[in-house]
Amino acid sequence: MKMRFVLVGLVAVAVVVITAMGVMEWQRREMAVAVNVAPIDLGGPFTMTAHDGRTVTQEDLEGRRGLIFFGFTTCPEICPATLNEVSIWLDALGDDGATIDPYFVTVDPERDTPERMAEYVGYFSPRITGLVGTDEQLAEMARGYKVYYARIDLDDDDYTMDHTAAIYLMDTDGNFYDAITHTATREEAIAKLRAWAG
Amino acid sequence: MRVLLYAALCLLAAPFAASAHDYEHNAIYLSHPWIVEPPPGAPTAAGYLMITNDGEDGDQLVSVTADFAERTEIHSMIMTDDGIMQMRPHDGPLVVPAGGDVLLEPGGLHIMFMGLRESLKDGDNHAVVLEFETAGEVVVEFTVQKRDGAMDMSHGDDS
Repeated sequence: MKMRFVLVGLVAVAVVVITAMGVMEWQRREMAVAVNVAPIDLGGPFTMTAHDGRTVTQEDLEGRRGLIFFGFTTCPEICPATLNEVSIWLDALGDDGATIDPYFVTVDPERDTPERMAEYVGYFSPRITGLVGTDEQLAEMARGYKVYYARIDLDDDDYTMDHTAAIYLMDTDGNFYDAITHTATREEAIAKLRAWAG
Repeated sequence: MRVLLYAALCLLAAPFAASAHDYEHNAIYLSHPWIVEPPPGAPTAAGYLMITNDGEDGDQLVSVTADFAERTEIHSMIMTDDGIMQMRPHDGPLVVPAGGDVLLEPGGLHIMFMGLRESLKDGDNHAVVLEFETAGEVVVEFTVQKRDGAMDMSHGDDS
């Protein structure tokens, strides 16, 4: 009899705690909505080929947290530095970052084949997926993500690419959450990702 | 026992010694020449060093050549106000003023090795020929190193 009272008591406490957590979560979301009065319209449909050959579309981002960066493998500076940072962030986040899927989208499909992308992204982290598209597929995705890229010719038939260097964070519902720019320190980036995905 | 201890100390110190080698040539002083280990499949690599001119007159770096790369240029990385990364060949020779220095570092000026003929691996040393207008030619061993884990992206705002 006494045991039954204890059980009922425990259940009652659990109900109160869960309800309170629910209300807090609801309030948090309401606040988030209030802050995001004008959500940034960024993202949208795309169809690309992953470095392992499978097709990746907008639907693959749903239910996951997408971390999306545009670049090219011939870039010796910002692209490898950024992918290196991403791998360090993932290590630092541990389980908190389990829902994050990083994507490296090439703006140079002429030179970056899926095979080359596989070697390249694999060097930084097995978690990163390299994405390659045709010129049209890339143009569609870049338009959605408001990414600028342009081919700049160098001497001897060589060329480099100008490109937007921000990292886009796409939420589980497929909508834009926030960006990490090159001015963010490692600590700031990790804190932002933990607040988002942790 | 003492020999063993000494050997252990040498082993511990070796990585630091390899990454902190300097060169002096006429009035030009070159410190910490290094190349970021490029990811496999990457056809380019970036090299860095600090060039100091202790002379009375200004000098300039007129060319950089290396057997392991088809072409070598000095490039600068520029981040525009709207967050677009641009890489451009440095305009004209790289001037090292008298009593001054020029720093080539991640996020800024760098030696761009293009068309790599061999893979560059962490710990390797590779000869690079730097030719200065006044000081002349100097052969420098660049050490390949993995990207510094302590570097953050905010270093990329100088051009």
